[in-house]
Amino acid sequence: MERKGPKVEARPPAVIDWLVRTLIPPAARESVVGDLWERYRSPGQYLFEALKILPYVVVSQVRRSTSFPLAATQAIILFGCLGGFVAPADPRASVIPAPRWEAAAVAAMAGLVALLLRDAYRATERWTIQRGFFDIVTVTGCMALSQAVLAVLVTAADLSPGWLLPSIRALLFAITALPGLLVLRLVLGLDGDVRFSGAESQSSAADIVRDYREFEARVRTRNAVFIGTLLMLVAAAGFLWLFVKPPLVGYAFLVGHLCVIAYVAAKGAARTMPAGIGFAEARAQYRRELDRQRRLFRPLLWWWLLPLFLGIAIQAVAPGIRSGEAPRIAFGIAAVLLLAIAIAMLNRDRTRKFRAKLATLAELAER
Amino acid sequence: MGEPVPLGQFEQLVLTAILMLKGNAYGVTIHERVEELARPRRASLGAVYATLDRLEDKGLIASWLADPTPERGGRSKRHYRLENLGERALKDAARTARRISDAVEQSEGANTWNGRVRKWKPAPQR
Repeated sequence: MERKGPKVEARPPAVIDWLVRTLIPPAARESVVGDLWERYRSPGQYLFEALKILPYVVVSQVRRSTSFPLAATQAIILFGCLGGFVAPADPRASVIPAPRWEAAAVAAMAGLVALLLRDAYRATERWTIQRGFFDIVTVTGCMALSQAVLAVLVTAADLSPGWLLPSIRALLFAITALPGLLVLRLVLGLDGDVRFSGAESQSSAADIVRDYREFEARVRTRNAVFIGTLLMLVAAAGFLWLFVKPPLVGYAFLVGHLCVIAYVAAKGAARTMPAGIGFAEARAQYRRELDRQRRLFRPLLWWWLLPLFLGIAIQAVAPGIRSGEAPRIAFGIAAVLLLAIAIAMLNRDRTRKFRAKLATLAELAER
Repeated sequence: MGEPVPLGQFEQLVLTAILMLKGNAYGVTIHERVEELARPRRASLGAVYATLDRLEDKGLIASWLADPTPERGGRSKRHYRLENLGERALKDAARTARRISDAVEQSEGANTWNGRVRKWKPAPQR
C-alpha cells in the first residue's frame, strides 16, 4: 500500500513531540508515539493526529487502571465529606452549612476524575508516600478549578450562587476527606504490593529474606501513614469540635478512629525474621506473617469507614424518614449498600493478591 | 470447549486484521488493514488502539514490545497475535456471518448482491 503523501521532514519538532509524549499515558506512550512517528508527514498532521487519538487512549487507560470498588469508595468519601448526603432543610442533619447536592456532586466528580486520571497516568506500579501526596494535591487542584469555573459562571452567566461550596464546608472537606483519601489509596497501594522480587520458581533463603525485608518496610510505611494520618484527622476534628458542637456521628468518628489507631499500633508491625534462618523456616515465617497481615487488616476498612455509614444514615436516611421523602431514603440506602459492596470487593481483591503470593511462596524450590 | 465470546463488528475487523498480518501486526499496519476491510467506512487509529486494549483484556490477543527502530524515533512497536480464544471467537463470528449471508441470499434471491459485492482480496504488501 502506498504511504499517504510525501514525507517533508523526518521527525516532529522537539516541542510538539514533548507535548504529545506528555499527553499520552505512560503505559501506551512507547508504542503510540512510535506509531505516530512512523506516520509523520508534517508538524500539523502529527499534532492533529495525536490529539484525535488522545481521548481514545486516555479513556482506554482509565478503564484499564480503574478499580471499581476503589473508585466507588472514593466517590462516596468525596460526596459525603462535601455534605452531599445532608438534607439542607433538616437542621438536625448537620451543624455545618451544607451545599445543594448538585454542587457537592460537581465538586466530587472533579475530585474523582482527578484520581482516575492520576491512576491512568501513573508510570509505575509501586506506591510511595510522595505519590499519595501528589494524588491529594491533584484532587485539591481539580476541585478548586471546578469552583473557580463555577464562580466565573455565577458572575458572568447568572448561575445561582448555590452551585458554589460554602467555605466552612470546603474546610471541613479538606480536614476529613483529603487525609481519608490519602489513607485509603496509600494503605491499599502499599498493602497490595506483594509481588515477589526473587526468581520465579527457584530461590534461596537470602532471596526470601530480602523480599521479606521489603515487605516489612512496606508494612512499616503503611502503619506509619495509617496511624499518622488518623491522628491528624482526630486532632483536626477535636479542634473543630471546640467551636462547633459535634453531632452523634462526630463522637462515633473520634472513638472509631482512636480504636483503629490503637489496634494498628499494637498488632500492625510485621514480625522480624531472625538472621541466618534456613530456606524452609524463612518461607514458613513469611507465609505465616502474610496470612496474619491479611487477616489483621480485613476488618479495618469496615471499622475505619463506620462513621461514613453512620453519617449517611443520619444525614440522608433519617431525615428522609422524618419528612417522608422516599427518594432521599432510597438514595441513602443505595449509598450504604454501594459502600458495603465496595469495601467487600476491596477486601476480596486484597485477599486474592495475598493468596497468590502465598501460593508463589509455597511453590518455590530451594536453589 | 467453552461458550463462544461475543464480538462486536469492529472487534471482528481488528481480529481479522491481526490474523491476516501474522507476524507484522502492530498499530499502524492493523489500522491500515482494518480500513481496507471496512471500506468505504473509515476507521480511526484511536478506535483501533482502544479495541486492541479491550481484546487483550478479554484474553483474545496477546501483545509484546519488539526492538526499537530508528524510523520510530528509537521507540518499540507493540506487536499483537491471536490467542486460541481469539481464533475460536473469530471463527464463530465468521460462521455466523456466513449463515446471515446465506439467509439473506435465500430470502432475497440469487441476485441479492447485484454485482455490488465482489470477492474481497487484500491489497498488495508494500
